[in-house]
Amino acid sequence: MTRFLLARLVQSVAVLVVMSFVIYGLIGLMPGDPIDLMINADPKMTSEDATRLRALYGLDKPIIERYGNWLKAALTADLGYSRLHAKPVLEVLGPALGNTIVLLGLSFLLSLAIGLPAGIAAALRPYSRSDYAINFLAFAGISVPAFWLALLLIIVFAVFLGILPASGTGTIGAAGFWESAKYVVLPVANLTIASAGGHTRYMRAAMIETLRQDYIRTARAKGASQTRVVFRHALRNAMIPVVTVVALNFGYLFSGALITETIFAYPGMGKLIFDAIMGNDFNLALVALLFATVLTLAGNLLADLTYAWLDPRISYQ
Amino acid sequence: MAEAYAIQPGNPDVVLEVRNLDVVFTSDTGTVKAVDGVSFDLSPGQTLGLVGESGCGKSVTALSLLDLVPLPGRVAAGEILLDGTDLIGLPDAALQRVRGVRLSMIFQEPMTSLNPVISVGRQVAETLEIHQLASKSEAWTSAITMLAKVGIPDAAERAGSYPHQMSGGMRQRVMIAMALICRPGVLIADEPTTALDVTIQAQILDLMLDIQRELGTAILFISHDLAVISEIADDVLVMYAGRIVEQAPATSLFAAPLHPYTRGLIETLPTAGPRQDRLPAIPGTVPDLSALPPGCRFSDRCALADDQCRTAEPPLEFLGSGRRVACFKATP
Amino acid sequence: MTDGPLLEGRDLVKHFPVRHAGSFGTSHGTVHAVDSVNFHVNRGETLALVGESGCGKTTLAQTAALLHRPTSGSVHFKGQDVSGLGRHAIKSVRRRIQMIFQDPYGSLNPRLPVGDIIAEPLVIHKIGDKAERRRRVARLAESVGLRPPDMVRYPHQFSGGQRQRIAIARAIALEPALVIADEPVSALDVSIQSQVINLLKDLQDNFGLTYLFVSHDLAVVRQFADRVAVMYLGTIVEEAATDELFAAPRHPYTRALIASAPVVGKGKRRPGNVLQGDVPSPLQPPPGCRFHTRCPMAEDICRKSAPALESNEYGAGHRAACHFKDGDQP
Repeated sequence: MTRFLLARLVQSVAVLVVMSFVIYGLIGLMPGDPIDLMINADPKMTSEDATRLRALYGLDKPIIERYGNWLKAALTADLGYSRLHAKPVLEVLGPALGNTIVLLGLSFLLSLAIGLPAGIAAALRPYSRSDYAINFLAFAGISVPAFWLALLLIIVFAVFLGILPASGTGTIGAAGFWESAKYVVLPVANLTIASAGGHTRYMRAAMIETLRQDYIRTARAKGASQTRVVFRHALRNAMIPVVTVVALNFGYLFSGALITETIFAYPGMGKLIFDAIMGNDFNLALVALLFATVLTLAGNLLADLTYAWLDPRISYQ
Repeated sequence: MAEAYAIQPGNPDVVLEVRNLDVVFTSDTGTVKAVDGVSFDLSPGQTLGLVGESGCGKSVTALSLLDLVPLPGRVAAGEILLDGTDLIGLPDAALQRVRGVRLSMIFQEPMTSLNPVISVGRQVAETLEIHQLASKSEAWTSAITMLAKVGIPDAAERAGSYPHQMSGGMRQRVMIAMALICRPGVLIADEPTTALDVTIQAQILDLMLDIQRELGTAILFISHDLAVISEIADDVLVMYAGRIVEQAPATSLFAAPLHPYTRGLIETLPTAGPRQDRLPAIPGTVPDLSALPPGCRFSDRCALADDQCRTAEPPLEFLGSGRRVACFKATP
Repeated sequence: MTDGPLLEGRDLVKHFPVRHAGSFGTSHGTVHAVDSVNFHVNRGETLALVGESGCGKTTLAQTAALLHRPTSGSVHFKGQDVSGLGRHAIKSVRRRIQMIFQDPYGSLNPRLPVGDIIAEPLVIHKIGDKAERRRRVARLAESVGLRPPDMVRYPHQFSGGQRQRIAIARAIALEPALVIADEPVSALDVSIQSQVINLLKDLQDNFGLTYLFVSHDLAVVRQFADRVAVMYLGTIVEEAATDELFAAPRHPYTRALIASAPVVGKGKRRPGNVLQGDVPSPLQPPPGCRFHTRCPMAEDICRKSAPALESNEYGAGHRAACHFKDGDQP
C-alpha cells in the first residue's frame, strides 16, 4: 500500500509538471500579451517602451526558456506576482481556494447525500411511480444548463423572494453564521442540483444491476430480510462502479464551479481563473489551473483508495 | 389425479409435500405456465432427482418452493406444505424464518452465487446470525466447524478468504456449508455440479451424500444430466414442458422407462458401450411454452403418438410401486 | 500431397503473460497454458482433446487453428510448417482450417440473416459471383438440415441446436480439410446433442472432413472420436485409440477421469475413491509430473522429474506420460 501511494505521488508530480508546461504553452500561444494590454490602455506608450517592458518581463525570450525560468522560480516557492491584483499569486489564491473548497465540498457531499439514497429508493421499485418521479427529477437536474438554473435561482430567491443574496460573499466582520452562510446557499444549490441527478442515475443503475446478481438470490435463500439484502449484500457491490463515476464527476464539478462562481460573483477559484485568463494574468491563471489539477488528482486518488476498501478483489500490492 | 396420488395428509414420513403447483409468467404477449400441476413428496433422508431439459420448468419449480421466482413469474396455484404448513401466501417475514433454517437452497454457479465482497466465513456465519441462532462470535466458530466438515482445508484460516480466492469446487463447498449450517430438513440443489469439472463433481456428490447420511436432510436434486441423477437420486421426476411426465424409483426408471420421452432421453445418452455409427436422437425440439401442441405436449416428437395423443392430454397416473406416468401408450 | 498427418504440433508451447490487478505495483506471471505438446491428426479421423477446465485443450486447439502464435514449437499442416507464416500466406491456410465454437449464439452476427452468415466466408475469400454463392449456400443449408425459408431469418429466431447447424454450415462453406470443434455440443440439451453429433458424423463421411474435437464430456468423446488425447495442466498425459483408452487407461489421471464421469445404470454411487484436491494453478505448475499433487501413486521421482509421453509396451499408438508402467514401480 505504501508503495502504491508513493508511486501515485511520483505519478502525480509528473502529471503536474507536464500540465504546467502544457498550460504555460497554451497561455503563451494566446494572442496578445500583457504589454499589448498596456499599449491599449495607454496610447502614449511608444514601441520602444513596449520592447523595453517586454525585455524587463522576459517576454522577448523563447517560450521554452521562459518556462524554464518560471519552473526554477516555482521550485523555490516563488510563484510570481498577479498582474491584476498586484499581489503575490499565493496571497490571491489562498482565500479563493478556501471559498472553492467550501463550495465544492458542500455540493459534493450534498449531491451524494441526495443522489445515493434517491438512486437506491428508485432501484428498489423499478418502474414504479416513485421510480418515475425520481427519474424525472434526476433527468431535470442533469438536463438543465447550469447558467440557466443559476439565473432562475437568482430571480426566484434573490429578486422575487428577496431572502437570499444574488452574489458575493459575506462582508468581513458580519455578525452571525447565517450572515456569511447565506451567500453560499445559492451557488451550492446550483452545483448540487446539477450533479445529484447524475449520482441518482448511476446509483439506481448500479443497484438494479446488483440486485439481479446470483449472490442476492443466495442471500434471500438464507432468509435475509429486504433491508439486510439491500444494505449488507447489495450496497457495497453497487458502490464499486458508482465510485468510479463519482470520482470522474469530481472534475466535472470543478468545471461547473467555474460557471457557477462567475454567475454568482462568488470569489472562488473558478472566478479567479476566469478573470485571470480574461485579464491576461499569466502567473495567476497558470497557478490556479495547476491547483485545479491537484484537486482532480486528489479526487482520483481518493477514488482508488475507496475502491480498494470496497472491493477485496482489488489490491495495490 | 392429485386425489389419486394423495397420500394420507400429515404423514410423518413426509417433510415436504407439493400439490398441484402452477407457476405462470405474465408478459405483454400473454401468460405462459412454466410449471403446470406439479405434485410430489419428499421424505427425510431421501434424494429426489428432478430431471429435464432447459425450459422444462425444473429450476422454476425449485425457486417457487422458496418464493424466489424472478418477476414477472408468480405461483398461481397449489400448495407447498413444509412439515404440514402451507408456504404459499405466507407473509415475507414468516417466509424469511423458513428460508435457510428449514428449507435451504444451493445453486448452479458457485462463481457468482457468493457475495464477492464478504469473506466466506462471514457468509456462512450469516445464516446463523440472521435467524438469531447464535451470537456473532459463536456463529463464526460454528462457520469454521461447518467449513471443515464440508472439506475446506485449514478452515479457520480459509474462513477469512474471499470467494475470488477459491476454486469453483471450494466455492460450492462453501455454498453447501452455508445452506446446511442450520440443519434444514430440506435442501434444494439446483444443478449444483453442472458448472464443475467431473473430478470435482464427484467430490461434491460424495460430500452431499455424506452430509445427508449424517443430517438426514431430504434433497431435491435438480439436473439436466441423467447420469448424475442416476448416481445420486433414490427417486426421479422427469419434467417436460412444465409437467411431470414420469416418476419412478431411480433403479426402475433407468432399467425400464415407461414414458417415450424418458426412454428417448436415456437412449440418446452417449453410452459407455462401444461406438455406434449413429446415436439415437429425439427428433425436433422442445416446444415453446406459449405454443404447445394440443393434447400430449410430447406428441409432436413422439413416434408412438396417435390421434388420442394429439387431442387429449394424458393424466399422470399412479401405477403402484412408486411409479407415475403421463402417457396413453405406457404399458407397465 | 504428402502421406503424413494432416495436422501436427511439434513441441508446442503457448504461454500467456499476465498482469495482476492494480494500476501500480503489478506483478507479472506466466500462464503455462500449453507446455511441450506433441500431437497429430491423421486425414479423415477425429482426434478428441479431453480434459478439465484449465487443462489447455482450448488453447491448444486455438493454436492449431492459427489463432495464436505458439510461444515455441511449430504447427505443421499437410507437412508444411505454418506457425511462422505471414499474414497473406496464413489466410490461404486458414481457409482450409475452420472452427466451431461452444456458444453458437455468440459466434453468429445477430444482425445478419442466416443466408448471409453462411455466405460470409465465401464473400471474404471472393469465391463465385452472387448467383453462384446463393447456389452454394442453398446446398450447404440442405446438408446441415436447414430449410430454404430459414435463410432469411435471424439467429435469435432459432433454437440452440439449429444455431449450431448454422455455425457448422458456415464452417464447411470453404470446404476445409480440417474442422476444429471446441465443445460444440456442450451448451445443447441432451436430446439435441445427439442430433448435432450425428450431423458432424454425416458431414465427415460426405466431405471427408478431419476433426479436432475439444470436449470435457467423456461420453460424447467415446461415441465420436477415433483417437483421444487426455490433457492435464498444459500437457498431454495419455493418447490412444478411443476404445483402447476406455478399455485400458494407463495414466492414473485418465483412470480417475473415467471413474469420476457419472454413468447411467450403475445405481446410486458409493462415496469414496474419488480424486481429491483441485487442479494447481497454471501460473505455477508443480515441478516433476504435473499430476503428482493429486496422484494416489505419486512417489519421490514424480515430484522431481517430468515423465515423457512414451509408448512402452502398450498397444500401437497408445502412449502415456507416467513413471509407473501400469501400476508397477518406477
